[in-house]
Amino acid sequence: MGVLNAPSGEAHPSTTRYLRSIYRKRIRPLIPWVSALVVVVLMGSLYLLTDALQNSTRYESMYVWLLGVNVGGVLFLLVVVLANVWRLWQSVRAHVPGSRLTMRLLRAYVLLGLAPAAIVFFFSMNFIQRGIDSWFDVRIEQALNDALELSRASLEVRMREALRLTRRAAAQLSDSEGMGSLDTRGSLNSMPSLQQGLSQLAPSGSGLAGLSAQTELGQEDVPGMGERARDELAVVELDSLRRETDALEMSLFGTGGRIIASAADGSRGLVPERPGESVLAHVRQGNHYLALEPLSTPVSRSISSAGDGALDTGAGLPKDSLAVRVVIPLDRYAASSDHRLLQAIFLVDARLATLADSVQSAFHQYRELIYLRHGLKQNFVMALGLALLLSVLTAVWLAFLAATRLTEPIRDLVLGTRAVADGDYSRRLPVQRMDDLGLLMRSFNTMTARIAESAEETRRLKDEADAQRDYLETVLQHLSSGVLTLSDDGQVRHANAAAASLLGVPLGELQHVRLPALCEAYQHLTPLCEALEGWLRQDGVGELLREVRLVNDGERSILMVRGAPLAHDWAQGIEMGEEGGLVMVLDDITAIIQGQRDAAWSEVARRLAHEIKNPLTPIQLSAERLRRKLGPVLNEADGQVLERATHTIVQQVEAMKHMVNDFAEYARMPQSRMVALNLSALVREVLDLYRGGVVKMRLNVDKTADEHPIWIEGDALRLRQLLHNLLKNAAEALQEASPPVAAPEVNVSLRLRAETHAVELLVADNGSGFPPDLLGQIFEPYVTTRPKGTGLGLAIVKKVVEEHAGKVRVFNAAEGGARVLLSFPARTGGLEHGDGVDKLDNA
Amino acid sequence: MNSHGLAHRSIRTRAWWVWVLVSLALFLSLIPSTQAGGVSVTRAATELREGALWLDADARLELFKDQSDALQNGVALLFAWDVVIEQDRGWWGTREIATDAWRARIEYHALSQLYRVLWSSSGGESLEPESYTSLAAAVDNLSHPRGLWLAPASALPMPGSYRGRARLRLVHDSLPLPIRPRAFFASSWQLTSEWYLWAF
Repeated sequence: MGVLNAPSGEAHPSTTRYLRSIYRKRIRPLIPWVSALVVVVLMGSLYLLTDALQNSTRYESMYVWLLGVNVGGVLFLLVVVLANVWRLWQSVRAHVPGSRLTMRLLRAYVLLGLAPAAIVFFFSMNFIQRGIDSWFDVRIEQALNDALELSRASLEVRMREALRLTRRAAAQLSDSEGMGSLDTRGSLNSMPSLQQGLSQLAPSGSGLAGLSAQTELGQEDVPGMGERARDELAVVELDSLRRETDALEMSLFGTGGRIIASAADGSRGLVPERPGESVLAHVRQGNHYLALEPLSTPVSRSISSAGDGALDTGAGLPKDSLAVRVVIPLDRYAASSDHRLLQAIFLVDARLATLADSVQSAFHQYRELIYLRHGLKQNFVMALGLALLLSVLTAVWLAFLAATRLTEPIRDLVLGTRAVADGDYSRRLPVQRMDDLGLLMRSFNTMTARIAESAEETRRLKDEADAQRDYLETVLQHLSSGVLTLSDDGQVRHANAAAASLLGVPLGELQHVRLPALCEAYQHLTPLCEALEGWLRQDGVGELLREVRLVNDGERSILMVRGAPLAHDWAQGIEMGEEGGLVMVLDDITAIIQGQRDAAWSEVARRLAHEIKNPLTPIQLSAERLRRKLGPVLNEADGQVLERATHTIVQQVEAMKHMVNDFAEYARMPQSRMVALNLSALVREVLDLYRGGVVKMRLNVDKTADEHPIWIEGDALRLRQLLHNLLKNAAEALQEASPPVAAPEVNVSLRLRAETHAVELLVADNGSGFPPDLLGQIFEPYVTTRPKGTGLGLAIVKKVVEEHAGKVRVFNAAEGGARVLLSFPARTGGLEHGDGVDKLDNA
Repeated sequence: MNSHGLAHRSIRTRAWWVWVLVSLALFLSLIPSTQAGGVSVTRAATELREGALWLDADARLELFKDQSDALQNGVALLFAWDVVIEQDRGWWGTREIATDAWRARIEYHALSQLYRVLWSSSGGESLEPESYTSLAAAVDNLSHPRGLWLAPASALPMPGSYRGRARLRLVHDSLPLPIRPRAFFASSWQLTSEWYLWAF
């Protein structure tokens, strides 16, 4: 992965790779197990949630936590599923094998899971909506309202009665004598008789255990003892009134809610119920306060602030008791600043209270249910939705697992198939299943094993074929015979080096070229094409055996061409599927024919020399004897005739002897004595013999060769003869040239060709050159352009060159003149300078 | 990697962050807000008398319509005065002297058409119930408590430096189950004041 200008804020690539590898190796394998754990926890949590929703108090306190756990778990599953979907989608886009099938299976599984879940969800929702709504009925609600109103109405009677009684008591209290007499201020302490009477009254008053006298004087500094005595007397009066009115408690309050006097039933506590500030304020304005209040449990600790009213149920009263609280102002104190309020508390009949409380409880519960209906629906829908989400996400997740597990072997199969297609037959699929896919994978493994064996066999055969072809190629390349394979249409498919050499064509240009085109490019091959034309036209039917003569740059060669059609199978094997074709074998038989011819000529020369030379001497001797015997006896005229005749005979015999000697020389096959010799020194030595002649002889030696002796392995005597023949031929040709050459000149060049490791000796003249029609047979014996020539000079040259493993070529220069180019193998290894010259001299 | 590969990788990286942000947003949206709604403590003070530590406090409490409706429909609401008294020990840090929670339960009595306030403490003490003809009066009662017993005087060695903090909150756990999720997440049910701090 390349790192191209990564922003500085990003993590380092190596860190990212490390984290990814950690995720892939450590975390990703745990995700399925964590997901399974989450599903189990979610199911448990969902069960507790639904249990809590069914008014179970066990898990009520954990409700929100359960809800959070469920939502969190569902979110986790959602993230897992979405991450899987995302990865699968990426795989599909990347054409990962098996991903499309996984996607298809996943789609099917999800549809299969979603359809029933959606149906169940739909009907469950319907059931929840209608089911909860069916709990409520307008008539029931109305009935409960009516019942509550009825209860209130029945209690209203009791309340009005309580008000009436309280008003009467207040009137009595205001009008009582005691109250009036108490108006004179006095001190409670100055009235010991009253104190004693009160103390005696309390224990003696049956059912008046709660009778008490409140003397809260702390807030008032003026009233004095007279008022206190009056208030204490009010207690006695209150108790009497309480008894008369059957009140539970009756209290007299002064300014600021101060308790002046109170009388209560024995079940009540010592502290009277104080009305709330709002009630006090309401009553001080001249109104009365009438309310139905539930009785409460006894007070355990006081609180300074008080409500509108709070009724102590006291001991011995039912918990759901109701009481009527009445607070009215005393008219007598209406005009003064010192208000007096009378509070009376009446207990509602127990049965009526119980019934009223029952009605109220039912009313409350029903109203609460109605109020909570919407929330209840929402909770059920939420729980159902969570259950649905849990089901769907679990189904999708399981679908992922199932689809992945199902397509895993298919993906392996695809990968294996691709590997096989790519030529990898070593791939084996893991077989971990015993089902049809496992069988398929086993079959795949068997198939790939067999393919591997076949491929191995094929490879082995191919290697063998390649080896054979290489072998054949090597053999062909090293054959002295040229081999060409041609297609049916005459196109060269293959040629070995010998063929290129024999045809005088670079090997590279012999490939995939048609023969006619080759012959057009290389004119000297025209005889070959002409010889093959008919055979190729017949698609190489039958075998071909032709002798073709080629002349390339003056070098004549005779090729024996053999052709045959290639077998179809063979051609396929060699040419990799190309059909048919021809094979052509070229043999250079020039040397053989030349050798045969040379042998024949040698035999002829030897016989001629033998047959002719023998009578020549007697002829010459006889002619000389005739001249010697008859010359003196003949007259002058006859003597002159005789002289001329015998002279002619002798001359001709000499000439014939000379010719016969040449023949003998040609026919003689002397044993060459090959020694190391300096060719440049030898050439100079021979040229010195021709210095001063008509024809100017010149030797050119290149600088390299001039500085260093040019050594070859050779026979100095034969080479000297070779040089004589060449120089003599050149000189005679120049002298006999017609028209005459103005400045006849022969140049001998000597140079060392390092690249071919050969010594080249070029003899060039400025004459008219060789007749072009004789160029091809100039080395043949008895081929000459001069009337007096024997035609053996160049033949002997060629023979000597061949004795020295050299080559000779004749050609005419473009600027005119004949050229004879000799090439000898250079001698490797050094000899002392002049060594060869000494040897030459000795020879 | 070629440019196409880089682009592909950057898309994948972006997508990953998008998922993280979406999940975080969902998670945060589910966290109940702790911001105070219509309640704040305006004063709190303690007094040592009668061998005990007493709390007087004032709060501004305004119920939302949701709470009024709930009360009218018979749902009782539970408010809690959370009080913590700590002793400041200088370099030795603070020591918690008392942690108390007075709870005021307010309910509607349909028959008498009165609102009742019932006080109880986490220590098991309870006060006599109060009945009010109006909801405002009942709310006024629970938002201006007087003389709430906190701790015995022996728990506060004198002289000493003490700090107190108090708050008033609606107790969601006491709500009926069907409206409890809504109470947790709806802002109209978020009635929790900030802590009020004082020293004595």
